[in-house]
Amino acid sequence: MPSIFLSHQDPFLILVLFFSIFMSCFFILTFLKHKHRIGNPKVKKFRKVSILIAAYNEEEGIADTIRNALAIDWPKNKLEIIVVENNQSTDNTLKIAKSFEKRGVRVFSLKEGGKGNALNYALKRATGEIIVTMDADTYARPDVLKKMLGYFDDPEVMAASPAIVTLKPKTFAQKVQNVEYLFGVFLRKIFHFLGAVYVTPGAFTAYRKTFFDKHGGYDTTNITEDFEMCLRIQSKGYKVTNSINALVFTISPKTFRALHKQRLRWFLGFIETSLQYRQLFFTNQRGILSSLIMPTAVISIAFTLVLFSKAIYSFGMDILNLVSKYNAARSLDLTSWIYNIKLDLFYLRLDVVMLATAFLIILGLFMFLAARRYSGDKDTFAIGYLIYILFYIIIFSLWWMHAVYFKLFGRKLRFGGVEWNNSVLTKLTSRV
Amino acid sequence: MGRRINRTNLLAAFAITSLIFFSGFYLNDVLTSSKLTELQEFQDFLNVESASIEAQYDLALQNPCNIAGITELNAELNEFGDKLTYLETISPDNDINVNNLYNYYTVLEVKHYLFMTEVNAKCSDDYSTILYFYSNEPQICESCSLQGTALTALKHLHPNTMVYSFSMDSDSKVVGTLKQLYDVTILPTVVVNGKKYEGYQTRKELENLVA
Repeated sequence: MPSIFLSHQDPFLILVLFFSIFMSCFFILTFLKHKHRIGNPKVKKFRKVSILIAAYNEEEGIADTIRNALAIDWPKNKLEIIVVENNQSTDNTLKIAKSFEKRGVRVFSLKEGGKGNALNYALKRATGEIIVTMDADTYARPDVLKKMLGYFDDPEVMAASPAIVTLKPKTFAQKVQNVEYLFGVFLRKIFHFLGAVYVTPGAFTAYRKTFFDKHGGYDTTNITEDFEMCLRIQSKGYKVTNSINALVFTISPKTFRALHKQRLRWFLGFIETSLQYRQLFFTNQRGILSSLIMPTAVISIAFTLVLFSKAIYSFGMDILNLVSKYNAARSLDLTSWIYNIKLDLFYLRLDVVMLATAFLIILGLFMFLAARRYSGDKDTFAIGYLIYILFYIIIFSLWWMHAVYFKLFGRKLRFGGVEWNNSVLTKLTSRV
Repeated sequence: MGRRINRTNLLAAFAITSLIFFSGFYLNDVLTSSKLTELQEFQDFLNVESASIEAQYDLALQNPCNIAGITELNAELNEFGDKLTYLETISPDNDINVNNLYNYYTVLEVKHYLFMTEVNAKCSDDYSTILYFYSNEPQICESCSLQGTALTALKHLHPNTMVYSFSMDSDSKVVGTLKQLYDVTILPTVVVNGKKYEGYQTRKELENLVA
């Protein structure tokens, strides 16, 4: 019997590994169980679609985006494109957009900033039965609507999301993101099978207009308005679907600095919106979404933060150790180290942590390959996968710590036209 | 229908994960046991080598010179000591098997040391002997791991140096006697050719002492 059950192993690390493997196994089993219905329902009815594009200082990409929207395979008389330029763009966005008016594109200019405002303005003027929000730096394959819109035959479906991948990754940061997005493609389809899709990406998602008519437009004070909308749909008891092969390409931030800014907004928005919809966390209200998926998201974040803190602490201790050893030794005898390298197999360590980590990597590889196969996107590098694991966890933890710090102590912040001043510190001091 | 599928999948996932972890614990256990067995066999071998040297000594009418295998035995004792230290880190604290192995190991070391002292006195060969007193607890001895590193390197560079390591963490009676004999109070302490030096010695300093 195991006599050294948990000795010399960090029990917290074992817990994290157990949880990660458990959830990964569950997701993969769910995938295998539902694989036969991974395809999309055929479009029987060509509903009228309004594509809404909000743009602020997007002169570089707006022309391509509009052309891309025009090229989408859908009956021309059932497709409407609305562009709203807002926040008084300082570049040629409006001028370029207006040049497409002769092709039927409706262009508006709005003084107020904020994506929510722009989308709500467009919503009021949209005539379609289906609303598609599209970002100005997004490119959809022409067949996306034919793949996504079949789901709306089910009257309980209020949203359909695509498979979002990054466009032509070139820099290191972009390659890392590419792998991350591919995991997202797999997970979102799993969540679809479980009825637990919790993000409808603002980059490209289709909604049923009647939902907005009944439950209002975008929350203009929310910095992640797309996340809020999805949780709103879920909380009202409707369905959110996903097509794994409706490919939408988005331009990912090139540098880690730019990526940091983006993720800060995402994470802070996640914290804020989750608190707003806390009935969807750790309750049985919305089935597996609220009892398992949302809690898992929160637990994963908590685990990452704790593990990371522990790693930093032990690394710091190791550094201190090394320094004190150096002081005691009065010298750093590097040549001696060479004679101390032990090549005997006796010293090979095969413990639970290594086995579990190896298994987790295999599971991850499976998810990655499945996403590649079923989405139809072959342009991702396998090497990026390994870099993702090593590098991403550290960066991810740092961003989350920053987001939590902001939530507690941040003062007035601006995220793309939306002002945020909602930190715990601000709330406490305003009450004084 | 969906709920039942989910419950089945959750149970299956839990079963698979548990299987992985129990396999891991079991594998760990099996490996550690096999390492213990390996060291026990190694110790039997060392015991035979040690006895063989004694027999040769007696056969040569207590003449310690030209006896085969003495330098090799010291190298093997060092290797044994390293492996035993490693086994200690992966075994539960105060494992009786590890303790027994260690206590007998100190006996073999002292026997070898006493034999080398005779060789130095009676033969033309010249071997240096170093008694090394240490602790694996970082609170008790900060620079012991560095001292160990330096001694290992020294032995590689000067094969005629015999190094004997004695851990102050153990309850070996042999070590207790040595501690009293050389009045070891500070760690690390090295006794080079009979002379005591307290505190960390760099490899260069050790090389000067054995020269």
